[in-house]
Amino acid sequence: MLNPGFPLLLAALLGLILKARKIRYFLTAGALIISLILMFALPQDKILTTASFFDLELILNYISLTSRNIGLIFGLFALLVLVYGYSLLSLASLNLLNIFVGSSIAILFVGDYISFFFFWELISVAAFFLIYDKVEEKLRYTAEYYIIIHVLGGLSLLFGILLNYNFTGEIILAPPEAGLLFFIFGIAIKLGFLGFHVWIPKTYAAIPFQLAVLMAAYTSKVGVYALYRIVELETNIVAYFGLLNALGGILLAIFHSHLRIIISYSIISQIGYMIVGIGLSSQIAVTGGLFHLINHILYKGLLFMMAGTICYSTGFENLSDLGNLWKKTPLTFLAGIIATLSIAGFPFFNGYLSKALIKAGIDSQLLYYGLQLAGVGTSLLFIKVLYFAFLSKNNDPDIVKIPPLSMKLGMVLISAFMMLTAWNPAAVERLFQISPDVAYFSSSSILSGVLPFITALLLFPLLKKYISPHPEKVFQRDFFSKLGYSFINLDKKISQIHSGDLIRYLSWSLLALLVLLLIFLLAG
Amino acid sequence: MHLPILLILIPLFTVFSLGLFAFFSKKYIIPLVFTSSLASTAIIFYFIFNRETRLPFSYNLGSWQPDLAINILVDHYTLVIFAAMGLMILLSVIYSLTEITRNKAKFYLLLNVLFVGIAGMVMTADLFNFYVFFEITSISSYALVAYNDKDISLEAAFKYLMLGTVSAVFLLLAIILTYMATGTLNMVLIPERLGNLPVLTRQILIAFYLIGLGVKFAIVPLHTWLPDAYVGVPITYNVLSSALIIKTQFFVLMRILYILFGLNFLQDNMITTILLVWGIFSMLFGHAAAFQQNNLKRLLGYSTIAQMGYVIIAFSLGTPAGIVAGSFHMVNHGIMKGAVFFAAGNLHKAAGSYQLNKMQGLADIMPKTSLIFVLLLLSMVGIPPLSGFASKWLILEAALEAGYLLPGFMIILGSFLSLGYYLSIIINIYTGEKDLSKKSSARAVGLKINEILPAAALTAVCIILGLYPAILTGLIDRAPEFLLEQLNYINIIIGG
Amino acid sequence: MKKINFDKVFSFILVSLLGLFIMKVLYSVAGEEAARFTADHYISYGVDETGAINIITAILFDYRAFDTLGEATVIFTAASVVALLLPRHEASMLKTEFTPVVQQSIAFILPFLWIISIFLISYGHLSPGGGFSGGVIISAMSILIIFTYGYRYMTRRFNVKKLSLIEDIGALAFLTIGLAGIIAGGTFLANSQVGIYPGPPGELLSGGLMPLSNFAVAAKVGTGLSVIFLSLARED
Repeated sequence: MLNPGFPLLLAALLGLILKARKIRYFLTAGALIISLILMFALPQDKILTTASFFDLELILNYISLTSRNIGLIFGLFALLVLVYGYSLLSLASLNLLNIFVGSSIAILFVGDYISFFFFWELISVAAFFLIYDKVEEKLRYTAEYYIIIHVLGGLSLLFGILLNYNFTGEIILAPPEAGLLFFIFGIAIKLGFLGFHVWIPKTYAAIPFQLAVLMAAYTSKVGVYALYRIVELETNIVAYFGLLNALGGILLAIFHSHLRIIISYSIISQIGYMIVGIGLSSQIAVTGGLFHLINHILYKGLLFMMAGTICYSTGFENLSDLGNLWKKTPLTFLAGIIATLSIAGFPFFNGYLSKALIKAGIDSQLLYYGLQLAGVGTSLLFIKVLYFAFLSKNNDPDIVKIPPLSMKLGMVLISAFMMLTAWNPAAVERLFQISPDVAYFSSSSILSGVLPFITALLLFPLLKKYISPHPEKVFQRDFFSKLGYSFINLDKKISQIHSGDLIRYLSWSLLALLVLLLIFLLAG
Repeated sequence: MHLPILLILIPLFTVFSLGLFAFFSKKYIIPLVFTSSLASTAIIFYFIFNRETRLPFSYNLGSWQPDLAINILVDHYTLVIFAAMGLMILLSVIYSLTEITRNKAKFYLLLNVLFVGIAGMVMTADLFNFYVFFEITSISSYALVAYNDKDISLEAAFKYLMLGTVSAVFLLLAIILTYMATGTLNMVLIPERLGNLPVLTRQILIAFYLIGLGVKFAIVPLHTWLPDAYVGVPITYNVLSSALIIKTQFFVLMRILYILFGLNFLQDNMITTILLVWGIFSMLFGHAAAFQQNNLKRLLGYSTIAQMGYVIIAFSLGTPAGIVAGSFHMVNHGIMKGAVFFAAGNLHKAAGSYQLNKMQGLADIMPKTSLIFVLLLLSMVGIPPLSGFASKWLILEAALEAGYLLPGFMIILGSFLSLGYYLSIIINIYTGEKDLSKKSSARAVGLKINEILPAAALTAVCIILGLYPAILTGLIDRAPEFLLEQLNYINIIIGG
Repeated sequence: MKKINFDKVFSFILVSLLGLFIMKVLYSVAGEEAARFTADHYISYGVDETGAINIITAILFDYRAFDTLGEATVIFTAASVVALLLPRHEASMLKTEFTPVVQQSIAFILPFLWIISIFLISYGHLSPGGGFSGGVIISAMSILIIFTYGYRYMTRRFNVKKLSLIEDIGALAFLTIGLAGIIAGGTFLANSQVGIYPGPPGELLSGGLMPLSNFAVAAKVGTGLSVIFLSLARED
């Protein structure tokens, strides 16, 4: 039986021959639909396909409830992106999209570490080529940065896998018994943990916005999924790290004014929420974390679509260049409002249910108030975005290009879908097959959901002047690239000892002999 | 059964008769060379396919009794190099058909001398006979490095000659000392007699063997000839050097160390530890130096040095898993690097230069070759499902199994470093001009079938091996028996 | 003051240290009671087993004939390489004119040299000499001719191409002799062990195929070295 990700990968192979854009477009759409059908049709919790690598058994198809749910949203969102990007996605990027989304879906349904690692790396490679651009030097640099940091994470994961394999003799995808640190390091890079998060804003702010919409939904979420599958600790320490991420992401985001940088940093913060949910031991919180992942893909997708549409129609992406757009682009404004209320966890909007679930599962006061604080920050952040992009009268950019119908349709569809899930907790419980005793719409829950947003709304006028937009550059050398450059400089000095002088070379080989003999003489 | 000796005699016959054929008509050269390499390949595949029934196989020359004669033997460890030879001999000849335009007869003469040398080195069980074949290989290597007759290749050949000769002196010294101490050159008789020598003397012998052969398999800091030599030579030599010559020299060193001195001696007296540390150093240094190169061939040369580091690490673990992993990587790296060089040669046809900055924009001109190139480079980094990943997996597994965590970590670090410079190649090839009117100097060229075939075939092998690595491990999994167990080796020829 | 080349100073120190070291090592090895298995066997049974009185030739062309084949290949390759790589210029250095006295006496000497070389080759298995030494004398003849009568005189009769041809034939002959061992039912290069006429030791016709091997190697070495010299002499 085919792993649900494989139809897309096969489509990518087929795409090598089919060079017409329209055909590739519908090929991808068809493959996505097949993959969605497969997720539903295939039996759960059974090993369906195996392969072998040396004498190890690879489990290529194993559908569990969680992976199916995440897979569903992955597939669905890809379809929505296809709609949104109908006129934007290029011929090459369509095929790479197949591989990227295909491996992101496939990784959810594998049951052993080797195939897991394989798709883990394939995502990075596909993303590299998605970002890559032959002409634009900045994109080349971004792609290079992206793949270097992700392969670093991947290699760390590989080392962890090997340590675990060496310890247990098993490669089944289960919480490891050895080398946990390397697993965590690899996952931390993938999900953009604070400190390893640099690639997120760097990438998503630099690439074409239609790709940002697409890519933002997958890479870090695969990391979250890996965290869910692999890291299993007895304490709740992971949850506290998650809180750190949730708060840190907001702090980083709040002073920026480039639209997509803000949204990117808020990904980091939202991933913090998911980590909190997954890191807790209660089943409700874990489900809440995973459900938050699904919601997050939706509203973050909508936010990126909004940012993309603004960029498309005005040509600007920095809040300091924007303003007063609400009349000119009412639909985008509406999308922005829905997305903001969703990400803020406002009752009857998309993020509310998952946040309520997480909060229901929290057993410590610190985490609860920490998350509420992060909620205030998030609300503040996006009130800022809405205010400066749509309402403020500082600037008045013109509409350069009218967004095509497909972009609008994409936004409408995703908003509709979000509202649909937001009103229907029963469907969610069916999806996850849980029946938590959580009163979603009790007055205390609603109050807890409304409170952060109201607080932020009240705080915003006071803080406005501190966080007002300013021009900024997307490309800045961060810690990692400085480290890289200093390595290259050091390396240059090392390789300069090759002077081409034969006498020097000869004396090196004699020196090697002398050292060898000395070692033997002195140690013996 | 005279098959193993035929493996030496067929190319030798070609060497001697090439001049004769060329004297009458030049048009016989190619058919002759082709037939002989086809025959050699057939023999190799005969051994590979009939390995269970025919191996181990020994052959004593001159019908002398085995302890007196020069013996040549084929065992399961030999199959490691045989696997590489089976692919490379024919493909390199095919590729060279159009690459070599002047002095064809001489080129194929040297090429066949090289094949003689390699086949002899791999199979011989006599130390001095090994030295003779070592010299044959070396001389033809020097000549092939100088073959293009350009300043750069002549200088490189001179450096190679000097370094190679100095090292050969130590090798010869080691062989003479061994003979002095044991009174025989037969590799199956030496182990027993060598065991009586003082430890220090044996260690010193090992040091001489190491330096003597180390120059040839380019362990840092004895690697200095290699990057220079790689720049100005025909692609065919690049391929053969990376895939066969270097590997053969290391192969023989391992046989000398493990058979003559024995695993226990090596482990008790730090030799394996020294080799392990040295291998790590060599690997990291190779990667670090490759970072700074802007000539593609030079870069690939340093990368070969680094990749040999992995092989050295794997072999010095001294466990069966380590030997299998190292052998796997030897063959696999040969396949990958061979394909990379073939593809690089094709790219060169369009770019006219191996300087990376002059190779910009090639992806538009040669999309297929560029794609192959990218695949191969990713394989070298160890991205699954290409064969490079299988190598890394085996080596890492072997290292961790033997309890060497830090070396394992260093291998990971090395892979990470290698990504950096392979990326720079990919980025250079996949860089286009913003302004379409400003065409780069590269021009489209039609590739002939014999230029496409080797790269494509090896890439296919690389992908297949990545998906089914058991094909290759099935071939070499008995190699440790004949390397780590002295008795098994000795019994092939005497006793048993 | 001239700048000191540190590389050179460094390598000087290195080489001296290494020299001292290796000397010490050699002393320690020489102290060992060397086993003399192979050498003893050659001395005790060499004549009986091979039929050649000259044990060196017996070793070169019977016990270790395979090494000889390899060494011949080395010379062959070297000759080819030299002919390939050296620049193609006509000789200008070797224009020294000798007096007729010299030319006449050399002309007188040459036949003797020829006879000596043939003797050394054909009696190689009986007395000191053999294919290698005979071949070297043949090449000495060509050197003498080039020096005395000039490069052009030599190349009119024997150019590199022709010499290489003879070399090829010599080498092929050696291979064929090796194959004779297979035909006789033994292995490659089998000679006395498969009973190819060991003869009574001391006779000219003895030692099986050894005399033939001597001739083959002599042809190869003589012409090979001549080719190397001819190629070198072309340099100006």
